[in-house]
Amino acid sequence: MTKRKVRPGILRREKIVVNGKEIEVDTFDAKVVLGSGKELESIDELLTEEEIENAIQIALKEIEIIAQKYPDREKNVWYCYEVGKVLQFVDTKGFTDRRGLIWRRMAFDLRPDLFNRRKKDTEESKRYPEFMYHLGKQSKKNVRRATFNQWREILKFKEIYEDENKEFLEQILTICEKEGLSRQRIKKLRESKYSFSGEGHSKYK
Amino acid sequence: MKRRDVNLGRTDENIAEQYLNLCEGLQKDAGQNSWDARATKKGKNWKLEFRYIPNLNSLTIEDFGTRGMNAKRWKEYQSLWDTTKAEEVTLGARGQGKFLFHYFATNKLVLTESIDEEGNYRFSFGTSEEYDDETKKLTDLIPSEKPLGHQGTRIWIMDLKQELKDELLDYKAFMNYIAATWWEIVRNWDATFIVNFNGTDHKVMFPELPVAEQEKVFANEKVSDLGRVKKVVLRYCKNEVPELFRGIAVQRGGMTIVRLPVSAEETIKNKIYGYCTFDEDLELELKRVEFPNHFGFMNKKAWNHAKEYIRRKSDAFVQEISPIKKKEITLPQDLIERAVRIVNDLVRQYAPELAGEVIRSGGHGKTEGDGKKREVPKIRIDTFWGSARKLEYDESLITNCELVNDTDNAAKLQLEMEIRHEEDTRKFNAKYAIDLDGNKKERIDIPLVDFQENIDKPGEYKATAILTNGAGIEPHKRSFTFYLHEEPPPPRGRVFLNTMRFLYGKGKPFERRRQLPLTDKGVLYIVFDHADFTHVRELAGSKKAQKHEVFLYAIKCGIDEAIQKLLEFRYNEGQLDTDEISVIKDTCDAMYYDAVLTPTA
Repeated sequence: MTKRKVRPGILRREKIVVNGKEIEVDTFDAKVVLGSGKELESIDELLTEEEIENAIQIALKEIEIIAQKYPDREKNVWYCYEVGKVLQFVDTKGFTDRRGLIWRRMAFDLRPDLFNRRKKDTEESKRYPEFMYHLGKQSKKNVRRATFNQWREILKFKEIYEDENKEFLEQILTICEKEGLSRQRIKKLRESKYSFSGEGHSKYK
Repeated sequence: MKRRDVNLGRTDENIAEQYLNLCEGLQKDAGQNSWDARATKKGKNWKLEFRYIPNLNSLTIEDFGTRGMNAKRWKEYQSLWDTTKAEEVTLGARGQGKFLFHYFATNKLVLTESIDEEGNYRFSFGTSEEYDDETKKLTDLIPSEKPLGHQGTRIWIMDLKQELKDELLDYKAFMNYIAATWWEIVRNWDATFIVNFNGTDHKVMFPELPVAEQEKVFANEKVSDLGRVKKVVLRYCKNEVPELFRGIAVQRGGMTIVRLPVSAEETIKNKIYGYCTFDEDLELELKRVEFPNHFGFMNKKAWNHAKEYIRRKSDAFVQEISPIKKKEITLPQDLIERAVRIVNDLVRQYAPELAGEVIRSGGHGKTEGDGKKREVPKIRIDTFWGSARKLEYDESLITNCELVNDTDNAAKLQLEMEIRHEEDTRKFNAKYAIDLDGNKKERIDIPLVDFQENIDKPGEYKATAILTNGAGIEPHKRSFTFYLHEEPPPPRGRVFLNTMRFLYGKGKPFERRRQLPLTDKGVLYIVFDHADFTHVRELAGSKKAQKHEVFLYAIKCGIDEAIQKLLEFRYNEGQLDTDEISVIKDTCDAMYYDAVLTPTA
């Protein structure tokens, strides 16, 4: 007799009808369905969503300050890096598993201007903050070794996240530095069956 | 089998979450541990002192006239949940309460000294995670203090947390908590509690309560097959009773576990206090179902029977003392009944850990042939519902049944009630002959029905009540369904209120409203950042309390919405006058009462 858990959610902007008028409001995903037997879990979830929203608001304020330092933010690797550092709050506060929802809330609902400006669709809006989040995990020394475009592709390599010793990252950064690979070439490399596949990554030539 | 990893570092926090009021909990746990350890049965020379030491910012809890801790008790004290006390007649059961002490200390540091009957001195220091009773002496940690010099125990809660200190050191409030919890042993055994938070010893006295105008005592009555009630004393006073003492104190071993509110109008309710004590058998049964924090009981057979017994006695007492008979409230239309059921369902059926008990509600309670509009009979079963939609073994079904006679003439009625399992085996059957005066409503005391493993089959049960008056008038029938040891199916059909959702209202046209009008689909949007709601959340001390408050607030919003709809309904019917408004207000209060007061009982 195990109960299904309440689905993790977040605040999101949606339109509801109040007295016949459509109004855009920020609603919580958590809903208390009477008779579901999960009323208290739903309230737990509601309070967690509030906690996340508060953390998001704090992070956005910090990001606003960073944004003031970078009038030209487009494709600026250092802006992304600094914002990425702020976005680490998802890990420190234990919201890592909801980060997709958090990115959506920040970059779609609240401040698309801080995350690559154009308001895209909900799914697409998550990608930029996700990139920033991973970039924020890198050392400053490494960030310097590749351009914005290169990083956009580098961080898409799955192997980076499986390689605890960062040997893989080191290799690809070395190649980027030496050969100045374009974004397209890195992409091809990633998709190529000859890409790094162990044995000291010697198959790449 | 592998041993599970346990994060003992958070034990004190987890335990603290169980308390709605930490300071009240602290005195209760300290008192309970110490009274359990008293050297003589009647607590001769027993004394418990709470002392604040400003230069150390520490609190000591020191007892006298106790056995102190020998090697066995010392080992038990240092462990968590390693106790056999649940089967003994002592007050403690799980050995967890002392971990609350660690919660009060900034670095969770608690020192303990004890001298047993043979004069052996023991000392330990430690956190909720670990302790050491070998390497250090008290004077190594506090050079200015002398070690304990008498048989008994002294506990040092070191460096009190700033956020808890102010509340804790309010000595008058602290003494009131002690008086409200331990009045029985203070009165009967002259137990001494000393509170010294400001350099002066204050002795906790037996509380001075207003003079009783009327008193009722019941003694030595059997409760099911569980044991006996030793004494129930109910008092109605001329003046209002202080808030902490209102209601019926349920006593176990000299300690007040919970106070059951009396079901009466505010003016009467505030003037009633009383208590209930049990024999050893029933005390033991109750101890088994007591919450580990000693602030209530689980929804189990022993508690359900005891509580039902107290309720009946207090209802009868209220009936006796009420200066004017309660105004008959005409059967509110279906809307209210549904809303009340929702409130009760939420509090008792789906959140028994909040309520600690199951009182009523559950079931659909539909009249036969629901769905069609039909006239409400003048003589009818007004209320018929069960305590829960789902029951487990060792739990009891409490049936709430009220009859109404809306005619001007008295009626001789027969009520038959039965409960059947889905396979048609009969679980319960009872018949009642009732004389019901005209324009009157009467509650029928249906006995509690217990369910036991290996005797009762799991599955769906249906309770049916049929009311006849033998005069050839069509019988009135009502029923409800509940499930034993089986998950009930999701509720069917349209309900008044289905879902509660939350949204931010700041800057919106409705920002000053608590909730938006109920949608066609039965969704109620509650404004999350309404000042009142924010305030409610801020006031809650722990996350558990916050959850509790959010839950109640949401229920109140549901009730407000139901009342709003009812007012509209009455207005459209042309029935809204000042009397009707007053009746609706009473109904609203009754719903609030159910929603707010019951869980604290």
